[in-house]
Amino acid sequence: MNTSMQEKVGGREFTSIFLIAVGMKLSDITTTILFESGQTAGWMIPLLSLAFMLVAYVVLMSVLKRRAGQGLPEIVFTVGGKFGGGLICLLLFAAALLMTAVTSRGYVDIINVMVYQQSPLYALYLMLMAAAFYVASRGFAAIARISWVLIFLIEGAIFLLIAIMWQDIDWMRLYPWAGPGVLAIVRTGFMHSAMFGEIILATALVPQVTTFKAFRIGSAVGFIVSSLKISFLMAVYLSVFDYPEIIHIAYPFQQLTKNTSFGRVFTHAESLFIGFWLVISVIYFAFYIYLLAYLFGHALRMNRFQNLQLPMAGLVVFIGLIPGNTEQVRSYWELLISYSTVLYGALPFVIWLLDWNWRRRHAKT
Amino acid sequence: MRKLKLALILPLFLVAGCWDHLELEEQAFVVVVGLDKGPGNTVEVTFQIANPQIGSSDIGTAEGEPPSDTVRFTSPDILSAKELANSVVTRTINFAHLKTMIVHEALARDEAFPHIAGAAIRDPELRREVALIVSREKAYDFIQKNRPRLETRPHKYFELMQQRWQETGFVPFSTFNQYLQQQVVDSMFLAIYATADPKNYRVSRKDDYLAGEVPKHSGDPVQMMGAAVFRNGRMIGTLTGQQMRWAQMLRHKSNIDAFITSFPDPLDERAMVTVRLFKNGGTKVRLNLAKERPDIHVTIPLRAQILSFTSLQPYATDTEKQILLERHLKEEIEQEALDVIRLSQRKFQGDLFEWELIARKQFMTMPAYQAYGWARHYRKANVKVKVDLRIENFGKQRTPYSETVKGGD
Amino acid sequence: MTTQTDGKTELSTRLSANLDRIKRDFAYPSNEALIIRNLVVASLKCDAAVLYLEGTADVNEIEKRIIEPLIERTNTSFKNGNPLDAVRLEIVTHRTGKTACTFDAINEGLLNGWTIVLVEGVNQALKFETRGFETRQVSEPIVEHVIRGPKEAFTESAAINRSLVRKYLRDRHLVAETLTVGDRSVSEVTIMYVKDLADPNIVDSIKQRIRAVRTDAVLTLPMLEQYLDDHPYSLVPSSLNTERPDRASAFLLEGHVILLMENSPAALVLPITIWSLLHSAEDHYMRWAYSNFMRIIRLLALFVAVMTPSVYIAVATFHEEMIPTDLLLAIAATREKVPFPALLEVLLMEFAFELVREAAIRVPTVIGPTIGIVGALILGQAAVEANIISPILVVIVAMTGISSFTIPEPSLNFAVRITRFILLFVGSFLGFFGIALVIACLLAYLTTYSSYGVPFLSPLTPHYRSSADMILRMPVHKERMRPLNLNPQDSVRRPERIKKR
Repeated sequence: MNTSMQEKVGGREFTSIFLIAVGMKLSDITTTILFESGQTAGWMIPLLSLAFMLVAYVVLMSVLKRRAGQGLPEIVFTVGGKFGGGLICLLLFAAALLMTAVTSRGYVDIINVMVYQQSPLYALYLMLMAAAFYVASRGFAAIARISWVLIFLIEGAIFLLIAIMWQDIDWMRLYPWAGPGVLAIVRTGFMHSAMFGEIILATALVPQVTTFKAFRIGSAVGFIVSSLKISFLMAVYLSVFDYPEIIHIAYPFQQLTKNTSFGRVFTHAESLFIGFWLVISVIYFAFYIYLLAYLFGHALRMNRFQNLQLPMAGLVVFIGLIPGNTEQVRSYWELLISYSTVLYGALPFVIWLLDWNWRRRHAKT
Repeated sequence: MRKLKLALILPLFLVAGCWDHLELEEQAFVVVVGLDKGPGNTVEVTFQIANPQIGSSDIGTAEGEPPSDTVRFTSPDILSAKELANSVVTRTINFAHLKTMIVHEALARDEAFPHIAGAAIRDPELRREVALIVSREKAYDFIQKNRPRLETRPHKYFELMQQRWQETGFVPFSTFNQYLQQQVVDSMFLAIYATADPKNYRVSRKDDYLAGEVPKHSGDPVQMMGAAVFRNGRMIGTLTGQQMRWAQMLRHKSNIDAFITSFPDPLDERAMVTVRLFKNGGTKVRLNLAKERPDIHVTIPLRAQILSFTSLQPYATDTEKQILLERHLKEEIEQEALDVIRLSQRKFQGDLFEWELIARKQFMTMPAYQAYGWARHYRKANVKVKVDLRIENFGKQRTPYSETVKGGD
Repeated sequence: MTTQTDGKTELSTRLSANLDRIKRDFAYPSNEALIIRNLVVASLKCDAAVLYLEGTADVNEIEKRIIEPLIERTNTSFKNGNPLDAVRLEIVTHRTGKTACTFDAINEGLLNGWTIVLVEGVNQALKFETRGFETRQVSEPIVEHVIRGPKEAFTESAAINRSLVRKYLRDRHLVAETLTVGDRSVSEVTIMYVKDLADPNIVDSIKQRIRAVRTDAVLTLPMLEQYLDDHPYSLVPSSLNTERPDRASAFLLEGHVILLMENSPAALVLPITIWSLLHSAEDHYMRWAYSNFMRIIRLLALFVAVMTPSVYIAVATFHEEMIPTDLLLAIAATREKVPFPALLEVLLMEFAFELVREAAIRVPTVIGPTIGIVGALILGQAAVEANIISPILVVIVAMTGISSFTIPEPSLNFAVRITRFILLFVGSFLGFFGIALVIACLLAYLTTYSSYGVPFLSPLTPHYRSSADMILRMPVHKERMRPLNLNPQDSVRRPERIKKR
């Protein structure tokens, strides 16, 4: 085993994981679903969702700050006892597992529909997960370092994409900017805040990061910048495709890349962007597989959870193949988001209460 | 453990794959698709397949083969035609390089057209940036007759014409994407209008020709001039080339920057003044939607280069005449623009200029805007056009020859 | 270890007994290598013998510095009473002098070119370092050429190599330690490092690894490299061979450790990162703009060398929409006449190219250039005319081959070539999907690969502060720091910037 695989991860790498992982949402089914309910204001929703989730995050941080160096699983076991801690870990694990399965199924659908129409779904799925599993097995350090190596390339590619599409963008299409009404927007934002639920899950990884400060800055910056990125890209989609056409487009990011052309000569550069997109999706799912094994391992109080990664990958594939077609995937996603919002929103408060209780009890003695 | 990982991953790469694998020479690249109305509820789909062996280097050339192969099928929609084609064509039909779609006018006016088009777009191979051209005669005939003498390969013609479209502004730059977009909003879609059948040759002082009317002799048979106007996915009329240019100018974001056009000379009835007009900024549209008949004020900022005037008047040197010319040009342009707007209001009864985007700005929420019903109000609107014209230069000749000769006497 | 199961490893006081033992050990007189010069030490008036192995010792030194003083000196008053000490300290004028107590030490010394002096009545021997193996002159480097910069290369003599390194790096902290490896044929390995720069942990771990090597002989440095290697099956090298002393000194200054061995005209640098493999010696001898230009081209060439064939196959068979229509039709036209599928074509051409490459190394220099021209151009052209391959493939394979020649380090060159084939297969099976997946896995592998404790991609990741010299370099006065990924003890090359005039 390489020693470098066990090393802790620095701030830069940690931030880039989230910039990549959370930023990926701009390229999957999330955007279309948000435009359905948000109409011309759909691009505002990620900002609102993040705002709501940040409230929960701040509450959770206040608990973590007191116990610097301990991750979420350790803390819930301390304050909740064995039963409470295990329950919370399992709930988080279940939510993360279902989310990963549905999201990964969505990605494989995209590959199937847009690029490789004739390859069977399960083969694409298996290969994607096999690569993600391999990356996860190299350790959290591998995921973090790859993110840092690729981050500038990825941001550059997105920038290039927008620069190429600049002429087709008509900002007037963003009007009327309140879409279905301010109240409706806020409500949608609130109900979809689980979009950024990883911020709660990420607190499990505190021990893997060199300093707590690096963790705090990394996660905060990563999520805020990602949400800005998603909003901006959604605004771009809207201004290129216009409402209501955009809700008829299944995959706006891939569609946007299909419109790219470098001059008269290289007219269809979307495969290039798909290449980048695939590399990051491997990292994205590697991150999730790692997290799933981590949470499950802690829920059962195991110390070595490396061996759990393979079963996790398999489980994800298995569950992911259950929905029959792409539209079912979307409805499952919506359902899951609503439930997860409750979970991720309420959990920090529950933990805070437990912690307050624990401190009160232990302060007396 | 490591061996287990390898053992799991490697076979996947060997066993899997190859489903989408296609050798290049096994594919037939369709460069142009034509759509005609077929009997019953069917569509006649024409595929023009490029022959790679014509126009390539010596090694690949095959003598005696035509530059492209055109084949037509009748079927319920485009994609089943694609499948049918594979029973005749030796290679797999591939839309990867399809950039042009030609639709017969009769089909475009038919109510089935939006359904056909909307169904075809699901195939990922059919791209949204495919250019949409409406042809006056049957698409099959158009494609057959389109044999440009200077281009060997069929796709090259359309590839190069795309640049010309953007330079002259006689035709809109219409893509499938825009067609689908504007089916669901209140604007109207403009498509390129073309023909390969120059029957209606006529001569006019202005460039208000439609495809087929351009006064030319010999050369390639295809003419692209003017636009086909669509509402809700069906064609309802045409615009001439000149009208199309003004329509482009009236949009707040136009594709063309400059074009050359002529106006009657203010001082000499028989002469024309040829001007190159530049857009000097975006067209400003101010809407007042408070009343039942909304007020629309359009301001077009233009600058002009006077290229030629056959009257040989001393416009360049005489300031009074210059002011006269400027005012005259302004009036002419305003009148022409207003004509186009009136045409859209009365004949087409819809917004050709994407002004609905500006109207949308004035509402807070989408439901409010949709309740307003822009198309209804646009028809009754009171439109005023103002042109800010500035004459930039007069070319490299200061005074016409006749002036100096007369002065010498 | 004794070569003979004699049981006795210590000398006796009788000269003849010792000589007999040594003669037996070296199969004298059938082995004519052992030369014995019996003489009488004039000043001590006792018998002595001078022994050396033919071909290993410098005869001049023996005659002038050892035999001459022994025979010619007649002064009998000595400070030392012990005859051995007297010989060593007062008679023999040679610059070295050590005692040897066991036959093992004597044998080892003889094998390594030392001269042994045995004196009657003493149960110890003297050995003098008179190494005189035949070796090459210091010549120009064969692999690492530079246009500007020194053109000296290491030779097969470890002493000369050490002297070359010391010529470049005159620092009293530059330490040369010697370890031995091999049981039957004992070889010496010299470890050189700068004592107040290199991380002591790294130095210690390297020394431990060398001591742990258990085999009968390690003849050359490349073999030692393989014994020390942590990841023998990996495609990625974990140490670097350089034949230039200036480059070795530059590495020493950064805190790396160098191994030198007899019979190897190279120095082994460890630990290394991928950046060490990608930089050439010339990068620092040119000005900022020129060297960055070369680096950018080299980096692009690396990508071309690894990815071009696989991208071509992926695009031609899965993603045809990416090629401009004209080019696509041209390729399709030429491919119509070719009977093979695209993958087979590429494999054929790549195989032919690799053949040409291997042949070019082994062909006698007289007809070397001819093979190049014949192989590359005519073969390619003829194959195209025979409709075996399409012309664009010649372009692609030639470009790939030439790009891979720009990689400065041979081990990385091989790694790139093999990776290219892997990517080629994956690209032909799955197009960009496969290539993307394999690249992600490759990156995962590289970022967690470590060479002797230092992560392979550092200081990019994990991120350490370093001199501004990773992918592109800064002008010399901005390269203030040493790369911290090696954990040097003194991280600053130069103090705060002196104000510009």
